[in-house]
Amino acid sequence: MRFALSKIGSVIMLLSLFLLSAVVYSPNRIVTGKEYSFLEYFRTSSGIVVFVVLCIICIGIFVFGFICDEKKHKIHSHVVGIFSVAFLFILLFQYGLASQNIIFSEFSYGRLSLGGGFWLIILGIIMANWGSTNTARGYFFVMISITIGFLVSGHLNSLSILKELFSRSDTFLEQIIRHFWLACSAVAAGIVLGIPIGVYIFRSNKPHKAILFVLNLGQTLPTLALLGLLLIPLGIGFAPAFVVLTIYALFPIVHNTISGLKLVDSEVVTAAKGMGMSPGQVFMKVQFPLAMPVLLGGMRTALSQAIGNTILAGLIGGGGMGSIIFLGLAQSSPDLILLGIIPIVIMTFLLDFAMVYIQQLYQRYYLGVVS
Amino acid sequence: MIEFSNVTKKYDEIEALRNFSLKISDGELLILLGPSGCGKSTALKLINALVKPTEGEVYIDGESVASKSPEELRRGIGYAIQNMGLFPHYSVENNISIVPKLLKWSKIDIEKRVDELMDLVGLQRNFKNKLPGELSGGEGQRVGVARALAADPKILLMDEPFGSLDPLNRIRLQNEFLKIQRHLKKTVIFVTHDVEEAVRLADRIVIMRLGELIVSGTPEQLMTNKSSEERNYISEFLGSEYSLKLLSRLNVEKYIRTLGVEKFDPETAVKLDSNLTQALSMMVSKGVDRINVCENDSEDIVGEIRIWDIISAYKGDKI
Repeated sequence: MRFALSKIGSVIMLLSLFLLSAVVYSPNRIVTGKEYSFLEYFRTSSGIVVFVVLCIICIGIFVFGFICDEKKHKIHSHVVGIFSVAFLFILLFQYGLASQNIIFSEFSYGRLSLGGGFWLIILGIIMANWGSTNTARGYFFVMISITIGFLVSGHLNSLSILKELFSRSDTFLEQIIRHFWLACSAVAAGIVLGIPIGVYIFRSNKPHKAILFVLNLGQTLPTLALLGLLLIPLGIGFAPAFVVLTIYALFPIVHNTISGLKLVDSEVVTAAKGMGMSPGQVFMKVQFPLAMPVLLGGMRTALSQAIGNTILAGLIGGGGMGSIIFLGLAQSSPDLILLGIIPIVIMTFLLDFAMVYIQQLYQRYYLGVVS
Repeated sequence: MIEFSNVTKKYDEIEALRNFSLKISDGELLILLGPSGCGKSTALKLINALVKPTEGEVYIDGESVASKSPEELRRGIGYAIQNMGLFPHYSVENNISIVPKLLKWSKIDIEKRVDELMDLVGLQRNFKNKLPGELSGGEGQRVGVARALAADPKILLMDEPFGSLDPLNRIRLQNEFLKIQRHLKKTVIFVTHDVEEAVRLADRIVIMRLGELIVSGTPEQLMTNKSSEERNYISEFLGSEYSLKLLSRLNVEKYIRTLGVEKFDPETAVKLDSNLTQALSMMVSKGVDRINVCENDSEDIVGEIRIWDIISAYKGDKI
C-alpha cells in the first residue's frame, strides 16, 4: 500500500488525540495521578481551536497519502514533513500554555507528567515521516530543533520531567558523560583484548574451546549475576562495572574477528603468499583490512550492548544513567525513569549511526564497495 | 631449468603426487593437464614452495627450492591463479606493483613498469585507479597476468588463470598471452583441465592422473603416441575429437598451395592467419573440398587449400 506507514502514523496521532491521556496530574508524589484527555487538558476556547487544528493536520497527512502516487513521493515527503513540524510546534506550545492552568499549579508539589497519548503521538510523527526522501529528512532535524528550543525556552518548565531534571541538573550531565565513558571505555578495552584473542584463535587454527567457553559463559550468564559475583573480589563502584562490561563486549568482538578473518577469500591469501609476502605482511596488508568490515560490525554490536548494560552499573554504584533510573524505580516516579532512559535511547541511536557511518566510509573509501 | 626429482607429496595418507619427475627447460611453455585432483596444482605449488615435498626435491637452475627462503624465492616467480586472487582493496596499479614494492624498487621504476605492463596486457591507462570490483572478468584476468609479470620473473606459474572466463574472452586472452609469451620467452608452467586450452597454448603437454605423470610430449606427439601402456587413458582423456582440436594449432599459411585451374567464389575464402580448424569448418559448411585463401587485410586471393592438405597435415607432410 502506498505510504502505508505514513497513514498509520497519522491514524495513531488522531486516535491518541481523542482516546488517550495528554497528561497525568497528581497533587504530590504519593497520590496516584489523575489522567486528563487532550480536550480536558487544553480546555480553554483557544485550546479547543488548537485541538481542531491538530486533528485537521492528522487528517491532512492521512488524506495526502491517498492523493499522492509513488511518483509524487518527494512532494508527499515534503508535505508530511511540513505538516509534522507545524503539528509538533502547535502541540508543544499548547502543552506549555495549558500547564499554567490554575488546577495544575495550585500545589507546589504537584506533578504534571506526560501522558501515554503524548508519547504515542511522537511515535506517530516518526512513523508518518519514516519513508521520507533524502531531501525531506531535514524535517526531522527541524523537529528536534523545535523540541530543544521549547525545552531551553522554559515554556515547558511546569512539566514534572523538567522539574526532575532541574532538581538534579548539576549531576545529570555528569552522569550522562559517565555513562558514555563507562560504555565506551569497556568497548575500547574489549577491542584491545578481543582482537588479539580472535586473531590468536584464528591463526592457531584450533577450536580453543576453553577460551570460547569463557566468552560464551559471559553471554549466557545474566549480566546482573556476573555483576553480583564480581562484587565479592572487586567491591562496588567503577571497577566491577568496567570488568563486566568488558567481558560482554569481548564476545561479539572476538567472534567477529574470527569470522571476519575466515571470510577473507582464500584465493586472495594464496595469491599474497605466492607473490612472496611474509606471513606478517599477508596478515597486515590483506587479511586484517579485508576482515575489518565484519570486525566493525562486531564493535557496533558491542557498543550498543554496552550502552544498555551500563544501566546496571547504577545498581552497584558505578554511576551512569542507571543511578537515575533505579532511583526513579525506587520512588515510583515515571518521570525520573524517563529522564534516565531518554538520553540512553538518544545515545544508542547516535552511536549506532556513527558506527554505520564509519562502516560505510571504510567500505567506500578503502574497499571501494559502492552500496 | 626446473627439475622435479622423484617428488612425492602426501596430505595425511592421501598421495597428491607420487614419485613425480619432470624437467622443464628455459623458455618452455609447459601445460600440466589432467582431471581435477590429479595433483597438477600441487606440482605447481611445489615450485614456489607453497607446498613442501614429503619426499624428493624440486630444483630451479640446479638449486634446491627447499634451500631458499620461501619469500625470496616467490618474489622471483610470477604467480597467476584462477579467479585472479586480486586484492579487492588495492587499485589496479597497486595490485600490479605488489611484487616490485616487496622487492623495494624505486617509485619511478614501479610507475614506469606499471605503464609498460598495462600496455603489454592491453589495459587502458585510465584503469589504473579502478578497484578489482569494478573490472569485468577479462579485465581482471589481464591485471592478474600483468601482476604475475610485474617483476619480470624468469618463471611464470599459472593455475587455470583463464578458468573463470567465458569461451570468447578465454580464447582472446589465450591468444594475447601466446603473443606475449613468444615475445618474452618465459618459462611457463600452466595448469589446466581444458584440453583445448592445452592444445592451443602448449609447447609441451604433461598429462597426469592420480598424482602420476602419464605422458609428456608436444600436442602432436600425444596424438601419435602409440608406445605408452596408458594409451587408452590418454585417448579417452584427450577425447575422440582431439585431432580436430590439434588442427587449431596449424596455420593455413603453412599448407597453402598455388591456385588451381578453376577460380572459386571469394565468398568461400579463409584468411591467411586462420587455422586449419577454421578452414575445415568452412569447407564443411560450404560443402566443398577446397577453398581459397586470401590476404589477412584484403580480399586478394593468394592460393587455395584442399581437404587432403588438412588430412595429410598430421603426418607432417608439407606439399
